[in-house]
Amino acid sequence: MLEDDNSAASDMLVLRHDIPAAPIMMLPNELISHIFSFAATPDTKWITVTHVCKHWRNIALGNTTLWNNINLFNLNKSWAIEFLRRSSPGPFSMTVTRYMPEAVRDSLEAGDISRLQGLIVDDRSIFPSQDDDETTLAKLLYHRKSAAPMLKSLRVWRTFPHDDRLKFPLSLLFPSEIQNLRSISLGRCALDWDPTYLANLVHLRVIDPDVTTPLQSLTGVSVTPTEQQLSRMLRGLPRLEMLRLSVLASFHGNTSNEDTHRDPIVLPSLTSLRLSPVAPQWSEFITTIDAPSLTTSRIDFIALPHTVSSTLTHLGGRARQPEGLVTVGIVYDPTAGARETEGVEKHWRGLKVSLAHDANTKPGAHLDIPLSVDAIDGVRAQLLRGLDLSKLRVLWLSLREDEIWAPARWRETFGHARQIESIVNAGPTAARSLSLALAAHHPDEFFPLLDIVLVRDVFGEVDEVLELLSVAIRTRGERALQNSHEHGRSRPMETWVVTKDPIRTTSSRDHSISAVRSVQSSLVQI
Amino acid sequence: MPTIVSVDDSTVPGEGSSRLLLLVSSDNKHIVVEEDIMSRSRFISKQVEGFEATSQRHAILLPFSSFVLNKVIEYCSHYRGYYLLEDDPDAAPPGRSPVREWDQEFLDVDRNMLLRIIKAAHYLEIKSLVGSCARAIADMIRGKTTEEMREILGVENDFTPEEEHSPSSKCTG
Repeated sequence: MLEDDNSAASDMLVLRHDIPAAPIMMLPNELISHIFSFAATPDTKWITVTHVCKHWRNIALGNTTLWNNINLFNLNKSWAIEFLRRSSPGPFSMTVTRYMPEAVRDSLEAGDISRLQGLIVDDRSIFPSQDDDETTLAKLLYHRKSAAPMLKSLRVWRTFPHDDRLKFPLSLLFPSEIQNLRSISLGRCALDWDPTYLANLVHLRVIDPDVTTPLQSLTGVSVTPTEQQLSRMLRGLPRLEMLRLSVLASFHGNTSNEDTHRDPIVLPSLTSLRLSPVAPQWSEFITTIDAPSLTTSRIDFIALPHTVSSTLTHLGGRARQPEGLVTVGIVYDPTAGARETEGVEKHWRGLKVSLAHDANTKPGAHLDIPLSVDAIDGVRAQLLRGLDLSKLRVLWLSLREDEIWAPARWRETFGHARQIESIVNAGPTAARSLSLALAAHHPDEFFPLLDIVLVRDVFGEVDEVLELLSVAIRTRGERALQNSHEHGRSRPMETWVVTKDPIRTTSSRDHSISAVRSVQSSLVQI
Repeated sequence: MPTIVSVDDSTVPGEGSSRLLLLVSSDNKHIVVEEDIMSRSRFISKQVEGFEATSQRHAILLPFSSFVLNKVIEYCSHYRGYYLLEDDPDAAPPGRSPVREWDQEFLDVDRNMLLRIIKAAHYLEIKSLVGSCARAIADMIRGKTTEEMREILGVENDFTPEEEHSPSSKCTG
């Protein structure tokens, strides 16, 4: 039986013949529209697609989602009004800065605010300065006649540090919408830490970037929740899926008669948790969190090593492990903020164990061990022994110059990690040490699936290390050994790619960067 | 509505543990592929569900050439068993992540081929491949002038000179 399908048949007819002059015109409108959505940039340059031909123009104007991100930083008054018109009748998001054109405010007041779905503001657009009585946005929000029933997402970021932290007047600005909010992100301004009206919240981020500078953070009393406030708030958020708190909490010991924090804080929907920086007292608090759906967590500790270990054990036990995956991350990295600006000397004593479910590609996990000091080594070994590494696919590894791991230590630490395919971010010490370990063990017993080792910062000893590693790799996997470039090096670095069929090439910088990206793209960061 | 033809079981060996599908391209090439490989395609999955409901297995006739079909099969084979967020009907739409490295190389083909692949992926309802193709095409036109876009994709300017300079056809704001 052959079912006739005219559209399919005619389509085949077209495809059997030469492609016509404008093959893109053969695509369904929704596909062309989909392409436009990827071509769209935050500015207005992409709008030239509407000038190409009538067909494209009609498609672009017919897709309200192309026009629903109204960023007053990037759009002038005319375009902002035009975007509002073209996004109608669909929902839109708006990024507001201090200056909101009156025409835009008029348009919102006239009814467009009923379509507002997301709002991003900075402090200057909400909080008046000494020169103003009220900002344009505040005027609009305080005095508006219409509600914003579709408002789901709110992000407020105070651009500059202030002597005092203002509490964001959430319930005053959004009295009728507050129950609908799903996502709140606040930077440098505070929540009411007892927001019982936020029961439907799914995402919550409260970040005070100045907490890394203790002197500044000392002034931030108004953003600092007490332990009891935190407990009460979290208990009131049963639908919360993502929580990120980067604030200092006030832990004064068990001074409250309520002692609420001792009871488990059940967060049944929480899948992602990130807390930083975490004082030693947090460790007790964290152990009261019961999050059976947790798949990703990251905790930045300022704590003693035993705190890291006990908390990891707690979270590891709580976290769901779909298909046997380990999905807990712990960061012991009290100087994370200094890393970018002060160089490798300050990139110190980190212990970072990040095991994640790679949602974008295939199931997997990676483990990242930056530089360490002797005091931490014992904890690292303790942690590694406590972890199930049987599903680990990617290992990030850096060792100090004087930290040569003997082959036996490699075997003891990673002997059960038989799924490791890639070792990346290895410095010369790790590369040398690893090559000796690989040479000492039979491929069936140790790293049987190892496919890629990516080595950074190899200088004088490159030949010897690469030779050792390449021989070891060829007995296991078949892909490549790569030595990556580093930006800004004064000395030129060679790029090596060694394959099973041994070919050594000194390739271009671009090739090298591409190779690094290739490996990194298979990873996921928490 | 898919075009299907009946085939007997000997044509499509689908009774064993390794179930196979027979796909027929528009140039009448018969391609046997493991069902598991093509499960990323919602269209194929729905066809297979139909087979199971009627206990009859059919060849699936597809409106694109074997050359294009083989490219799609190559894509599906590469990601066999992988979880891709875009293909999860229950997952929220992914954000603007960059094109995967492998996809970049896979889609390093000429313009016409790229357009054929995206059309086939759309027909087969493989969202991840549609997304990668759309990103690749968007990359081709991003930052280009109107004239350059016309040239790259072979589009004819059908605006009249009046329309082209009319504020009503182009927002000059």
